[in-house]
Amino acid sequence: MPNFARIATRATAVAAALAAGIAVAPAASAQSGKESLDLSGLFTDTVVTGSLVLDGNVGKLVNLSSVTQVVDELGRSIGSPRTVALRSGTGNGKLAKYSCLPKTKGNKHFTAFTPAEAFLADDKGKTQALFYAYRQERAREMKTTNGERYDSTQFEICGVGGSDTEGGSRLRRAGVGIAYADAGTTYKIGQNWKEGETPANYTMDLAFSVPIKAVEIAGGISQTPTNKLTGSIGTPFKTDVDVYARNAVNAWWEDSCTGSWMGCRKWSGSKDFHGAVAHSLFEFTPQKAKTVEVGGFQLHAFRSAS
Amino acid sequence: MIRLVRTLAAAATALTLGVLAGCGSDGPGAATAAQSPPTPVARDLASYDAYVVASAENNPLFADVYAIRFQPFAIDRITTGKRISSLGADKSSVLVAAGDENVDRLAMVGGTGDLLPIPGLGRPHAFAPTVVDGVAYYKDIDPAERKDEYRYFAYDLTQQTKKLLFRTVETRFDLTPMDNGRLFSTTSSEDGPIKVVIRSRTGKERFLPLRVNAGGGPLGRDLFAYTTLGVDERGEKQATGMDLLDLDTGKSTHVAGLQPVVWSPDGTQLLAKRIGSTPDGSPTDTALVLLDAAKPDAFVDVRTVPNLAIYFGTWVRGEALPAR
Repeated sequence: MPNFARIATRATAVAAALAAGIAVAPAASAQSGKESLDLSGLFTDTVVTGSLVLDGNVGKLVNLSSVTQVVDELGRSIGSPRTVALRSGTGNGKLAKYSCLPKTKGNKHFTAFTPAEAFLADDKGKTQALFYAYRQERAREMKTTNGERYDSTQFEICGVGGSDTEGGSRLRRAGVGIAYADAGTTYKIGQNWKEGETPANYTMDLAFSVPIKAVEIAGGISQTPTNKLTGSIGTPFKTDVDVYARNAVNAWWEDSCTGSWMGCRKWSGSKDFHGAVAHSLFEFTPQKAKTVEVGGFQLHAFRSAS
Repeated sequence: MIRLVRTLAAAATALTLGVLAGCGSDGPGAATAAQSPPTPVARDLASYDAYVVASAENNPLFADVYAIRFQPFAIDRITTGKRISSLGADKSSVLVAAGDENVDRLAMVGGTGDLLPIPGLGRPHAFAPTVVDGVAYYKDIDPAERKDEYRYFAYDLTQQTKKLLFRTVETRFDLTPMDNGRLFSTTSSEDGPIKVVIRSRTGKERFLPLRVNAGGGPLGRDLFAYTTLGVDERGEKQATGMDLLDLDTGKSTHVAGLQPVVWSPDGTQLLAKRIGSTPDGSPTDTALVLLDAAKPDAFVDVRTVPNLAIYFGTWVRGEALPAR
């Protein structure tokens, strides 16, 4: 059998086995008995998604689920995605290195909600994100299309978090994302994420003069200079929330292999904790703001690991 | 061998994807406007007759300033992505409250659409400017926040002097000077009916309640034109027409099917728009009509502006608007 055909046959077999949930060991080739089956390019993309509910001054993620998708070294899907329901999360907001805190108290129309948490622990490690929601009522005086006056309500949602690997897994991407679930109209009025090399600490500001302070991860990425922080209105790998890109912000850390011509291999990625901070700012009428508070925001943490 | 082939294949795919995807990323702030702004064009704002706040997407949260020239009719976009919430103008200045820095700040509009600091005043966090004869009227929120009060100011744009007019707890809007030192405004409590407030030079206030479902509108020479509202089957308010309220007599005249946009400089002719879309147009088309305050039913069509929802504005030049 020609080499090309043999490779194709083997890749199909691996994909089929993965799709069926069968563990595939890097065993010797059935054809030659000498070539080892190369699974070095296989990564698992994981997205933890939930809906934010704001009640009183408490933020909580409900309908949390984890979707995993096995991909090849270039991020192409192999097999079908797998969805697992998770427990709803309310964060304690006291984790020293995860915070999006206001510098000032704000006026009487400013509300700081307790952070909501997305957390996942699996065989590849741990992923955690905290989402801090802030609401500024009476932000702007507006008129409706009928000339009625109203005061707008703004929400800033700041997401901070990342992933750590274990059991030999290596991380190639980790980040957080925020979206308001409307594909037809833009309600997002601001966004921020950090671009470039990954510093040990950084802060970013956005919104109603509510500066946000967040600490990014102690590195230890030996091969770095190309490792970086980045962001987009879309997620780095296809997810269901991408339909809301016009109202979305995503920020993530990624290993240099993700942009390399050869893709990510088994030696690629990091064993350290990495993550990012994403800021988003939205504006609504007061009436719409009340509906938005009941699950209108889709928040997610994501990771790609070997 | 296999690894080499896979590497080459991956490289070829990556190169192909790279070419197809192109370069670059969405930097912070890239999505603050629905579309990328066009190259700024310097326009002579003094050559226009009226300035309006409008939105191509019919989204009041993302509205911009457009300028209208009536003869021949032309409408040009002045600002892009500035999130204009209110506008006041006279023959010399166009002032706006804009959310380009998230909270509303006053600014002067430049010919390129830039929002500039107001000389002597800067860009204060404030709302609802009106401009009459070189004086800007606006309000802000007392930064001390002790009483949660609104403060109303008159700022002389030439002398660069500011005067505190009065304070209120219940917000007032559409503040407009009248004759004899009186001030017009409207007010409403949360979800309450809108009332007209006439404030005398001595600070005495007279309240005129409007009909239960009333929107806003502009003040003419003798008449206050405001939108009347009904409730549709979904429970949402919809414009049904407008009332022209005589502030002296309290009498009002209803005109069905039209909403007010702006009064002529002498306050006798009202530029209005047909409610809903034109028969064969899109919901964002604005069909402008002109009516005489003395004969409000005898209005004439002016122009249908396609793909633009016009909300309100200020008409500063020209009295006679020719019908199309």
